[in-house]
Amino acid sequence: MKKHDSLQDLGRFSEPALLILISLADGAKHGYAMTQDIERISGQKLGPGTLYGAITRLEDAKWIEPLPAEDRRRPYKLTSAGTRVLKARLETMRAMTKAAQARLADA
Amino acid sequence: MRSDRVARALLRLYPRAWRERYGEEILGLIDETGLSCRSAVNVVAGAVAQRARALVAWRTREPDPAVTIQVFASLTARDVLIEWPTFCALFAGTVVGFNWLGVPLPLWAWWPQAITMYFVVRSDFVGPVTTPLRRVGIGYYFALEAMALALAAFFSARLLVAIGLPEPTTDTFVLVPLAVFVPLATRVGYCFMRSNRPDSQWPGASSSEVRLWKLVGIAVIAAASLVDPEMKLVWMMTISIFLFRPLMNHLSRPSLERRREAIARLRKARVTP
Repeated sequence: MKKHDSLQDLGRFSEPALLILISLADGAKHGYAMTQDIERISGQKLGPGTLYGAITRLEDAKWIEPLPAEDRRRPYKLTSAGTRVLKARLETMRAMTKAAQARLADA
Repeated sequence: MRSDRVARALLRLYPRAWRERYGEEILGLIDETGLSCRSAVNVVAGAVAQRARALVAWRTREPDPAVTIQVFASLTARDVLIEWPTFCALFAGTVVGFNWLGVPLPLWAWWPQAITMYFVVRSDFVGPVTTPLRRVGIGYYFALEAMALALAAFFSARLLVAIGLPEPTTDTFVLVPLAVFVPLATRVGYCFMRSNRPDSQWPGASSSEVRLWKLVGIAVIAAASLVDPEMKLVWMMTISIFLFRPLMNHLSRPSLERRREAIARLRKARVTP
């Protein structure tokens, strides 16, 4: 499997993957808790196929790792590599937001 | 309960390795959120994306030379060395007999070819062999597939005439088998090879489905041979395959053992796509 360096490498799953990383930033969660949390913070409801498509890719990239399953629920937690990727992405977004706001203020 | 059945059915669209890893989790999630039309479409779209990804991973994976050699060796010992000379001898016999002696080789002379073809097609080399040898193997496999399709076209055209339909034109001669036999042969072929292809990306087939296809195949051949006496040839080919199978399995027991071990290693080392 190809090694990924940034969230953009995940193609159309990069946005759901970012939301999952943000959701896991305050602790481990299983699939259902993630969808609830993501809906709360972003207003987006991730479908099961999208959620597990992104989880598969994040796990392959070793940015999240599974914890022991509880019945049919398996929680995932952020790894240190995942935290680094999330911080880098948020930094890029902060710079983009700052630039965009400055341009809007000038307009 | 119904949505659970639908969810399980949709899940079968995903690659087997993925289902084994994430299947119960996604079912648990659907159980909690409910299965709407939108989420069903989302599951299907996810399956398509996962299959595409698995296919890319399968094509670009690193081969294990030890496994490759052993799997190919089992094929070589049992199938190619029997199949290829048989084919060449029959082909040469047909050409020499027809062109120089004026005696066409009787059709039944192709029995051994049909029998050995069956053993090659049911072998597992398409999946695991991932070196230049694999290209040879896959090329050979597709050549056999093409021959099988040509035979299917020939016999289906005969069948159409035998049941009183007008003689097929060139177009129908090609299109009928393409439309009917390609999807059918692909599915049936997969059913028979599924246990030998641990890294297959196709949806699984239950043993009852395999039994069903066997019965359908026997029924079709029996019906065809009743309608067209010449189709008895196909019937006899099928019987021959089943008669020869224990003998072939006995002769190739050591290579079968090697292959089983190689497949077990492949299963253990399988990468979750």
